[in-house]
Amino acid sequence: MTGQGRQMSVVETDGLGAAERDRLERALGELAAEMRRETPSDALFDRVMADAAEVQARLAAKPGGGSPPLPAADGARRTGRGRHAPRRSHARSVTARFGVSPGFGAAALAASLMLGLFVGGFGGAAMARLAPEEATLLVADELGLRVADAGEVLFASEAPF
Amino acid sequence: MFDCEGTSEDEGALIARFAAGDRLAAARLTSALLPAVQRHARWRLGSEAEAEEVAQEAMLRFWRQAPEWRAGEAKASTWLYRVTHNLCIDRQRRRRPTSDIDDIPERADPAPGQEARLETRETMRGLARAIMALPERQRDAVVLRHFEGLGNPEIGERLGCSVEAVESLLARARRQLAASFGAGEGDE
Repeated sequence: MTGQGRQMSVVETDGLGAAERDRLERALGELAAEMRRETPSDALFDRVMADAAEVQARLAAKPGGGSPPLPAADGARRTGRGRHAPRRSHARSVTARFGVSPGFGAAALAASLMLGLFVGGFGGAAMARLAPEEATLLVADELGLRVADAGEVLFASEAPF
Repeated sequence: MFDCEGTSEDEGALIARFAAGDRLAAARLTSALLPAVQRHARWRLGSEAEAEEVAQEAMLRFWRQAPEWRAGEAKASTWLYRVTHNLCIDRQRRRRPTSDIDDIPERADPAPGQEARLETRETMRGLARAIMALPERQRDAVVLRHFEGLGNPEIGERLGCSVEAVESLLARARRQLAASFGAGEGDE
């Protein structure tokens, strides 16, 4: 007792037997797992990202506002599974933007940087739905890399899949 | 999860990066926070379309809030829960709740045992309906506990009540769910 006049609260019990509670808990767990596997639709993700870009643009336009938004890669748009057209110009433009010379080391550096934008724009949730092989192929197409190089870049970037 | 778990970065740092114009930070925050926001709205509203609209609106408010965000004072998840909750209430005031929660996730899964899967799916639907039929506070407690994996103190914080009250809410909810769930099972 604290002597502070605090009332002892009475917690209700569910009155269920162990087996009944166990069955309910298990069913709730299964339903929760099923629902957690769901991810927002691509369309919703895109709308939310578009709102984010608009807010960032407004912030950047304010005097003394944030720094200009990092350019979203064209390839960062999610067009859905299996519908990505290769955009090899990205790798080239990234290479140019970061002033690196050709060669795998430099390309990997550029690709890693590009991958950050790409994965970000594509959406971690959507990427996480892909099997590693699919993701590797997608990144290879997207960044104009060889598949083996794309795999290395993915590994180095600690991408979420 | 209604959280920035899974991101390698501190939540406050991500929000600051977003406010500084970093698109990748926006994507990471969206990936981390949006699913739970949408789930919460779906449970509240029972409508997928409305849940999407609310989730988008909640996230937009979050983006607008980002420049003023004071790291360490509140978790983004807690803030978003509250905003989502309020947006849902606004919606509910405008209409009676509907219940198309029957759209329990359907996954294309070529696993064997089609009949067993259908049966499980029916059971899941029944349970989802029973959850939707709970009084709001009980439903919120169940969703936060079982679907968002929060502990009772955190649920109390979200719902603005004591841990004991959360335990009582959960107990009442379990009792009602067991009754509905048991009845559904018996029907089969």
